[in-house]
Amino acid sequence: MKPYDNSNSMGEVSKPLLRRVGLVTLMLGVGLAASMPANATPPPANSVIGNQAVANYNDASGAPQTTLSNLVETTVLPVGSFTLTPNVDKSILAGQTAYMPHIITNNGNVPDVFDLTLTGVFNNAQLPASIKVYADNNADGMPDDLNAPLCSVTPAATTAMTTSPATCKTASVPGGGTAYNLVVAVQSRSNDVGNVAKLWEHYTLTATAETTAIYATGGDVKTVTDKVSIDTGAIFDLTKSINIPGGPASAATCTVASHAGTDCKVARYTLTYTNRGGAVGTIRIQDLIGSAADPYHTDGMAYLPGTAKWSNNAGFLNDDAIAATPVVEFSDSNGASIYYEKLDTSAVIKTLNETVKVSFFNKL
Amino acid sequence: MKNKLHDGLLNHKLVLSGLFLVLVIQSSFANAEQSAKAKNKQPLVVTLTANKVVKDASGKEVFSKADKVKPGDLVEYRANYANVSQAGLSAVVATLPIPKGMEYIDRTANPVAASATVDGVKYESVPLKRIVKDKAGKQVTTLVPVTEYRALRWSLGNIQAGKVIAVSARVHVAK
Repeated sequence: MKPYDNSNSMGEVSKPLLRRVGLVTLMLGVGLAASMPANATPPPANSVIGNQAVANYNDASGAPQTTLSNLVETTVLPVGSFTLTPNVDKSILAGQTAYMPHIITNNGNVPDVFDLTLTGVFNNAQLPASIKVYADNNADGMPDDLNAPLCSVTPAATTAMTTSPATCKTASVPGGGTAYNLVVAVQSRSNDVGNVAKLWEHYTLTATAETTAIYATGGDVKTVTDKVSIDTGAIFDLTKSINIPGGPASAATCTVASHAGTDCKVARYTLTYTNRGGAVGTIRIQDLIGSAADPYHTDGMAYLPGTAKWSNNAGFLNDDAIAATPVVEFSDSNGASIYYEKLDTSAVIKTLNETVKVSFFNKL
Repeated sequence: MKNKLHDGLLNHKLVLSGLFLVLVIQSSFANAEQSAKAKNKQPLVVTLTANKVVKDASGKEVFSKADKVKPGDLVEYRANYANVSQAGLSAVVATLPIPKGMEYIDRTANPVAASATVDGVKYESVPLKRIVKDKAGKQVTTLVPVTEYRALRWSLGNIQAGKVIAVSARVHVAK
């Protein structure tokens, strides 16, 4: 059998030839799918999904034959769907600027542009000095270019705020789960002071999809509410980063106990905290590693004992079990101390749902 | 028939009108096509349909042609394998691809005894399984997500002359 022999003696293209070419394409498509874990994203709008069933059989003479069905084609219609997250709550010192990062995720199957509006609920006497919206294409939570906001917003109390340009909008965001990051920068005035509730001002950010017709009722509009407080105490910034080596996954023989093997891959987490406030403060950090409950789904990872360290000291932390009165492991020359506890009360290293809890005590 | 038309031309000695010439040419092409079809006629004809499946207010499934779909829609592929010859056919194997953009829905293969593939090459009985490493590094057998299935296959055996066997499966348009 020569299923892909598609030439005749004249070098002409015959109808059966085309059908066989169709088979080649079909099978190739199946073959290519091997590298795809799943069709996790919707097919693009207006794409055509073709399908042909195949029959292999022996005819009356016993000769093997292959037959294709008719080609069935299905056109995918455009569908809109998106999310806007998260609600952000930040504290700043008077005169500082709060950067409020947000993510628009286009889960539809067609690109769309999203119009942005802000509605303020501010104390009239304490309006922000300025509000600007920026693109954050590198997703670091800060504006890409402070000199090029998407729009500037005129602060106003309990009303929709005027933007300049009049329509504040994102770039076109591709579908299929593509994220568009933006940052709202709220600058406070230097003479602002914190009130008792520390709820100095909040506003609603609304994103409205421009291609309204392809969205379910109400699905073209999403909102988040941000709160900015003026504070005079400690204000911590905390970031988490991960350094993951490339290459294939760890070998099956790689366990927590044998992680030092050359076939084992290790990811390094780094937690960075900064007190940019106006007073000494205490920060308590809990970081779940190895849990499906962790926002980053680190299920399947396990803490490697004895590898936690504090940048203010060269030594490694002791992996003490959690205790009512934690032991100070290190103190630095600035008077900052660190308590470190691991939520593991057994001597045996857990490999499932390992939870690590780190407590920091910080003094300026 | 082609010869008969030519005979008519000669017998009646009509002046060839443009219209008549067109009729002759069309008839000639039609004859050639029928002749080619007869020569290439397959004993097994496979007819594939794709229908969108929705439930009405009473919960009854309603089928409509799936020429246009939205992500998340439920689609049923049905392939009829018809032996249109006068003799039986043997060792019939039906293969129904799950195209990119579609996701197979578990346990919708009909007949139930089906095989599936994730690479278009190796077919095994459903549900497909694979060996993976668990959190402790131990090798365990786990089910392959059905969304990774790329084609289904059934061994239909013999199809007698004039008989039809249908296979079907349901998919979701990926979303």
